[in-house]
Amino acid sequence: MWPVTMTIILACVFGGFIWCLKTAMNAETKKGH
Amino acid sequence: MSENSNEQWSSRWGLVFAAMGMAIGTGNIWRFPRVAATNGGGAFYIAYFLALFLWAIPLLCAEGVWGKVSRMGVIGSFKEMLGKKWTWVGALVAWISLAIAFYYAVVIGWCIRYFLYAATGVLKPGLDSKALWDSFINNPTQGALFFIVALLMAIFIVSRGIQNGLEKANKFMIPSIFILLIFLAIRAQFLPGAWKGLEYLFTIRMEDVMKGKTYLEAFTQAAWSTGAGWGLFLTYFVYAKKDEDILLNSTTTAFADTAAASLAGLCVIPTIFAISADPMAAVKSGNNGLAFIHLTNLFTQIPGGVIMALAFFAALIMAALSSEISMIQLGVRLLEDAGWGTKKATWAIGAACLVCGLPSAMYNWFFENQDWVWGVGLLLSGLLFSIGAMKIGVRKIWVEYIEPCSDIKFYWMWWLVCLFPVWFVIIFGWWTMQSISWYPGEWYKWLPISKYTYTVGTMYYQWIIAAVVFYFLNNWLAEKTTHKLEAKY
Repeated sequence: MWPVTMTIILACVFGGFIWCLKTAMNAETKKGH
Repeated sequence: MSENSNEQWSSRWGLVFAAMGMAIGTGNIWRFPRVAATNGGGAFYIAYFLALFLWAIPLLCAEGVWGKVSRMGVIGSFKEMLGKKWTWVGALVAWISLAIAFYYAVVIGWCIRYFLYAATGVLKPGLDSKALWDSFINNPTQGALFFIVALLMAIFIVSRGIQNGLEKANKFMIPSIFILLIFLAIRAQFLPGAWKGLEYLFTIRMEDVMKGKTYLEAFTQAAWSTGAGWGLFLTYFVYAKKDEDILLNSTTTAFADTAAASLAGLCVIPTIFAISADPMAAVKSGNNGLAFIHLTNLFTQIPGGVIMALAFFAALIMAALSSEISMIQLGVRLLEDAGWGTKKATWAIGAACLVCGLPSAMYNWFFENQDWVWGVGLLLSGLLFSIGAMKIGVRKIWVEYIEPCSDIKFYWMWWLVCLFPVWFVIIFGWWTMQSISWYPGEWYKWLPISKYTYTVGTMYYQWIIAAVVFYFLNNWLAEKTTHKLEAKY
């Protein structure tokens, strides 16, 4: 069971972080145009 | 006026990297893995996610608003946002963070010492790591020496200004920390039995999910680790662009902090479970015990462990330094608000750190007392921001300051600042009750500090002294704090 919970937890942590960075990058690209 | 006093971040990424540096500190690397593992593992993560949204992100948003709207440091921003009468409240918040800056450089000094131990071959098989730590921590001269080295490093960075100092340093240190932690996390997985650590860290046990202590520890860790409510994010937002996003940058900072902490968890816990004869003793041994005794000992037993030790202590140094420079910058901004130039202000704050930090560098009981008093004091700082936000109007702040520049439009994430006083009462009440239980019948005593290091008395007395001093200095502080940053873009 723990490999499943580990995958979900780490996906939330790193997925959340990457989503934030990607959203910020997209926003900056839009502002640049 | 200094040529640097109207400097701003060169781009959004300058601010984002600096904010990550502010949040990512030693607490991510040596405290998070230990606290997460001993408080439910997977259940702790659930509680921690709640804490990010209920505690950290709303407070970071409040700080962002304070800094960007007022364009002044912590003291001036409270005056600008809430009126002259609130100036002393800003001073109290600023003092709590500065009091931490004084002793935090001591920690960087310890990490530099241990990095040098690893680099010079001291960490080798058969080393008595406990004796090594005891001989170091009980040597005031060595403590003072490495503290001064650490402080000079921080002063050098801050004195170079926003773009050439803080921005450049963080753009180097933050990627470096992540690279080192990724390397350590991967290396740890190749140790025999490392999976036992992963199993322990990521298993969700229902009894832990239902346990109050899991949430109390998670909220405390989030409060200390993300830097929410310290006034540091506020200080960095003074230099933000006029249209800088507050909500998304707050969320990014909180998640970056959690990502770094999780990488540290992936390194520390599997290493301990793979090598240590008594893993639970290691994870329950406190921050210093974990890093400087148990992990140091384990590094001597692992093939190529010296490389791991170098990477581990280098990551610790950079994590601590990137946080220390944010605290010194907080103090520098206060003096700049009073018309001081950047270099003069940096050396003045550096001198204050030297004088007030030396006792912590030389005597560990003083360090531990200050860590207790002002560490818990941060909860109070958070409360002051949330009360301030409610006084101004949570909806008003959203409509006027957050929503217009936000790349994500989730009002509820900001609105949760209204609930902060509830979490404060619970968490602060729990720490108070814990402290009373540590000193039955003597909880109100505070002298000698070496005996009553963690009492409620020592905490309240030192808080009250600071609050009374700043209350009486209110008008003087308000009159002195007049120089705003004039944002160019």
